Amino acid sequence: MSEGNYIELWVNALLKNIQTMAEMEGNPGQTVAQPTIFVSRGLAVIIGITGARSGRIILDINMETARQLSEVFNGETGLEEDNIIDSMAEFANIVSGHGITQVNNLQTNLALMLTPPSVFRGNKINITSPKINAEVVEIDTPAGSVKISVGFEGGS
Amino acid sequence: MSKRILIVDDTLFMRVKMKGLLEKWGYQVVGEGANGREAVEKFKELRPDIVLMDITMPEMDGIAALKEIKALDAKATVIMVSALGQESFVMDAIRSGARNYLVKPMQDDKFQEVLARI
Amino acid sequence: MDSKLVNPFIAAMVSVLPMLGLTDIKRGNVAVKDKLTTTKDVTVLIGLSQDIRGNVAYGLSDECARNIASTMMGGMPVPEFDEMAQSAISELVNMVTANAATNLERLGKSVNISPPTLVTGENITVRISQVQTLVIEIFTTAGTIELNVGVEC
Repeated sequence: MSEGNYIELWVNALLKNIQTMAEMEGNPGQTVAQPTIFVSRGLAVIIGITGARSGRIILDINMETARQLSEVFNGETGLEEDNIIDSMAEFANIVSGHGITQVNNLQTNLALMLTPPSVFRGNKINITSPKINAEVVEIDTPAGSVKISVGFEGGS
Repeated sequence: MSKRILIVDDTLFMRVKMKGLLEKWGYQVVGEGANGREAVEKFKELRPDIVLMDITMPEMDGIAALKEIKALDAKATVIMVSALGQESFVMDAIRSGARNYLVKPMQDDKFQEVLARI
Repeated sequence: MDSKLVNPFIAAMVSVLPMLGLTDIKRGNVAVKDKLTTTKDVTVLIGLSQDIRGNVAYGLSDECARNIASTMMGGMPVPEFDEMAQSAISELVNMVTANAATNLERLGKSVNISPPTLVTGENITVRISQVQTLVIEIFTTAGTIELNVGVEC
């Protein structure tokens, strides 16, 4: 059984949903190993993965990109920061949901589940996941760059 | 002759802490691993008297590593050390051949006692 | 949110922390919030799924984090919240949450926990749940830990 991060499945889910929800074309960069500290650009959505393997997904953007994406998702401008946070949490949730479904279809014995999203917004946010080896992909979009990091521990 | 122990845990803190205690109690820590794959490799290389095995680890988890080690040597002594205390995990480990199962955090005297009984 | 779900977490803190050398565990203020603006330097997040879904976030100051790490390491000085100290705190949170999950199992709820994620930064706003979050202060000899529970059945 492959013990990889399946990050390409999440990247595909991100590209597909940004196309569907925002009618934007995303351009993925290289997959790279994530350094120990993940430095956020201002808004990070963290979703946990549990089941036969456990891990987490981080979706990270700066506030300007978050605003632009949220405005398109909601079809309105002048959104409050609260709405932006909610929209990005929901977007990350949808992307993660698509991703996890694909992984579960590929490896039917895993039965992976997602935890609800947590959103961190602030300055100089550093995220460390001590038990996890993650990979990161940066996706360029018309609204700015979206970074996705996926990493797993072993099974439980 | 002091017993030779292999410590397997993906958390730096736990490896350092366990090594400190074990050496204090007169055991010899012959190796450390940070995942199940390393556990199996180091077991083959070092043939320790006791393996202390965490469960949740990257690449290969502790239960899978336990099974591989028992397949290599049916008499291998593997003690699971995990934060997961649910009965299902304990039963799975014991059924797979673990000698004992310690739930983190374990009291030092309980830990010492379990080791002394080997 | 059912406050019955919070007790297993408080019980876990009370039971696990003393085993790590932290004494005089006392519960302080309890508040309900829908959005957190945390002034805590360090937040450790663990997600839950299956019978109970949600997130638990443990908030502590840099000083408290270092004090606790030091206690866990037998009194070794911890001048900086370095890799070793971060590892210790993540492990503490992992143990407390796993213990809470075992408590929940006794209530008939099967819970899977995610690995811990450690977040540091400035002026952080955190939303860990779409439903309300219960914020409980836990006092220890090493400092105050803020237990934020945002879970639902």
